[in-house]
Amino acid sequence: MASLLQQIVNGNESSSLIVIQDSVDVSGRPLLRCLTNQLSSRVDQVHVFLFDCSPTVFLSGFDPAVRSKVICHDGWSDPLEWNGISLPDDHNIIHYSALNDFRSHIESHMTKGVQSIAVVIDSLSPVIINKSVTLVCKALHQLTQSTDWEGPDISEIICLLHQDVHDVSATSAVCHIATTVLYLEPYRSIAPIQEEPMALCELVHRRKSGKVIRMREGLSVDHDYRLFVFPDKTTANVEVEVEAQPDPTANLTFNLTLKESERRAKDNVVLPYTKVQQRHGHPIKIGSSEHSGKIFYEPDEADDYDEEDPDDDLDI
Amino acid sequence: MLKMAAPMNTTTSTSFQKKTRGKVAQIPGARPSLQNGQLLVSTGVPSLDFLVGGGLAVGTVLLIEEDTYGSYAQLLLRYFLAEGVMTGHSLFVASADDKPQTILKNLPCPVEDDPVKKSAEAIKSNEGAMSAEDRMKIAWRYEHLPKHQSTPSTHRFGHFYDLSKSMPDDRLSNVACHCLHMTDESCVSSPPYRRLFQQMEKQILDGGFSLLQKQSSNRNILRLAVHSLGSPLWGEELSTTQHDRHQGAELCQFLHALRALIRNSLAVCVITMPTHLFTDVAVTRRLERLCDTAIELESFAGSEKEKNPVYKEYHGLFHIKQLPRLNSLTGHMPDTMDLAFKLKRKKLTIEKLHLPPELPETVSRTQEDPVPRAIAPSIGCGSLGGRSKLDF
Repeated sequence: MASLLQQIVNGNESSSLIVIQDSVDVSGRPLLRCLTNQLSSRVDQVHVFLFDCSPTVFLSGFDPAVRSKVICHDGWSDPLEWNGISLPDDHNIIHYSALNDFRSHIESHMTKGVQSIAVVIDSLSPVIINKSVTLVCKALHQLTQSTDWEGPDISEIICLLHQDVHDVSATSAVCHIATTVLYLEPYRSIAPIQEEPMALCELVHRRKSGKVIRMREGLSVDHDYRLFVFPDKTTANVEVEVEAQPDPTANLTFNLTLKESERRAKDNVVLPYTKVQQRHGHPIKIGSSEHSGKIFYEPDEADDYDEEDPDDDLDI
Repeated sequence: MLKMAAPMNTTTSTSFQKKTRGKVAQIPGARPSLQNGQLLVSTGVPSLDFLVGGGLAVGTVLLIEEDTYGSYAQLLLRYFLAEGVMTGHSLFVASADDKPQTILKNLPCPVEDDPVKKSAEAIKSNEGAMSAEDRMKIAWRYEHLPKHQSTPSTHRFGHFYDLSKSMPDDRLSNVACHCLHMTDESCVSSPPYRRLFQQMEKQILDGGFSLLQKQSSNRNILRLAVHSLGSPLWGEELSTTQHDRHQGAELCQFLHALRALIRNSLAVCVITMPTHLFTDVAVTRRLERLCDTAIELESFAGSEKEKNPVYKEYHGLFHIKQLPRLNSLTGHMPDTMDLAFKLKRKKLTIEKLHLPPELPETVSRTQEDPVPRAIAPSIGCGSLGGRSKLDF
C-alpha cells in the first residue's frame, strides 16, 4: 500500500481542505510547492493566494508548463492598503478584507472554459492576525461549498498555517473545518534527503465516510519538488516483534485427534441414559405438559434488538 | 416556579386525590414519565432515552458535546429528527456548517415492521423444519422445551432505524419542516445568535406551540435541532475581540433566553456543540449548566484510545455531564456512569462499558497495562517495590 501522504499528494485520496501546520523549526513551503506542482497536472487552473511571499519568489523554480496554469493573487505587496492605489501589474493585488474576497478574486481572474480549479493559500497566518479567525474559517468554508456558485468546482484547497504564531483556539478552529491536517515536525539528519527524511509529518485525514486516519510519516522534498516518503521508524519497529506461540498440543502423551473408524466406534457407544429413555418406552418430555411454566418475554424499550444479530456477537 | 408542560391539573379542594394520567391531551409520540409525570418524547435512540430518564421532557434542552470530528453527534441529531418525522412532530433545523437540507436528506430510514415480531415468526417457521437429525444427543432433556416466545408490546415509544438507508422523501414531506442556514447571505445584518433565537421564537409563536397562548385542540410538539452551535462559523466576522471569550458570553445569553422560551412551549430542543474548541473549561461548564441535560461524546477516532484493547469493542465513550431535575429535587439516575457507544452497520447503541475478557499475551497486547493499576498498599504479605509472582 502506498503511503497515505503520497496518496493525498497525488490525489488518489480526495480531500477538500488540506491544512499544513508548520513552525519556525521546519518550513511547510517545500511541501506546499510540491503539492502545487502535483495539482497543476490534475486541474486546469491553480489559484494561488500569497500573503507570505511575493509571486516572483513563489513562481521561481517551477516549470513553464506549471507556471502557465498557476494564477497568483498578490496579498504580499500591500496587505493593508497603505499604498493606496494598486499598480497595474501582471500579478493582481488582493487586499483581503471581506468574506467574499477569495471567491470574487477567483471569479474575476478565471479564464473561460475552465473545468476544474484548485486553490492554494500560502499562509493563512497574516490574514488571521490582521483580520480574525472567524473570517478565515467562514471564507474557507465558503470555498469548500463551491457547489453553490456557478463556475467550476474547487477540487482542492491547500493552506499553510504557521502554528507557532497563533494561540491554540485559532489553530484548532481552522483544523476543525479542515478534512486533512498535516502537522510538520523537524527531523535532524545530515544524510542526503533521498535516504533520510527532512521532516516528520503527523497526518490526520478525515474521509467522507467519517472514518478518521492518523498516521506518522517522514518526508523530504528535493529541488524538483519531488516527494520522498519514509515510513515512521518508531511505529515500524513495534510491529516486528512477533513471538512464536508455543503449541500446547505438540508434545502430548495422549491422542487428541480421532480417525474416522475411531469416531464411528465412539458414536456407537450406548450412553447410559439412552437405556433409561428406552425402558420407559417413550422419551421423557419436559415443558410440553400443561403444568410446567412458560416464559413470556416482553421486550423493553431499552432493548435494542437487531434482527440480523440477535445474540449481539457478530463483528460487523 | 416555571410552569412546565406537565400533565397536572389541580382544581379540587381536597389535598388527597388520585393521581390521574388522563387529563393531558394525547399528543402523538409523547408519553408521561413513569417517575414524575413529565411529558416525554423519544430521542430516537432507545438506549439514550433510557439513560436520560425515559426520554426528553417536553420543554427542556439537551446539549450534546460533540466528538472531535463531530460525526457521532450529528448522527444523534439525525436520529432525533427522524423520530420527529415518524411521530409527525414539526421540525426546525439550524446549522452554520453543513446545510440543514443535507442533514434532513440523510435521516436514517425507519424499520417499518416490528423486528421482534419478525424474529418470532422466523422461530416459528424453523420449528416446523426441525427434523430428526436435529435431536439433541447429550442435552436431550431440553429437547421438548417450548421455544422462546415473545409477544410484541402493544404500546410503542420510539422507533427503530436503519442507518444504512435514508428516510424516504414522501415521509419527510408529510411533516412541517423549517430550515435556517446561518451562512446564507440574505440576512447577515444581525448577530447570529440573536437571529437564531428570533427564528425559534417565531416558529414557536406561529406554530401555536406556546403554552402562554390560547391552545388549540390538536396540539403538536416542535422539535428544534441546532447543529454545531458555537463552531467558528457562528462568529461575527467583523468582531476583532478575543474569539472564544466573546463567543462564550453570547452563547450563554442565547442558551439562557432559549431555556426560558422552551419552558413555556410544547417544544424540545437538541443542540450539538463542539466544546473541544473552547479553550476555557469554565465556558463549557457554564454552557452545560444552562441546559437541562448535557452529554458528551468522546470518540476514539484518531486518538490513542482507538488502539487500546480495553476499548476495542466500542467507538467512543459516553459521558453524562448533567441530568435533568424537573419539578423535583432529585431526578433519574442511571445505574452506572461508565458508558460507551458503538456504531454498528445499521444503528448506534449506548451501552455499559464492559472490559473485554482477559486474553493471553498476544502481539496486540504488548503495550503497557491500559488500565492504570492501583498501587496496592504494601502491608502484610506483599513485598515492597517490585512485583513478584509470589505476591498475594
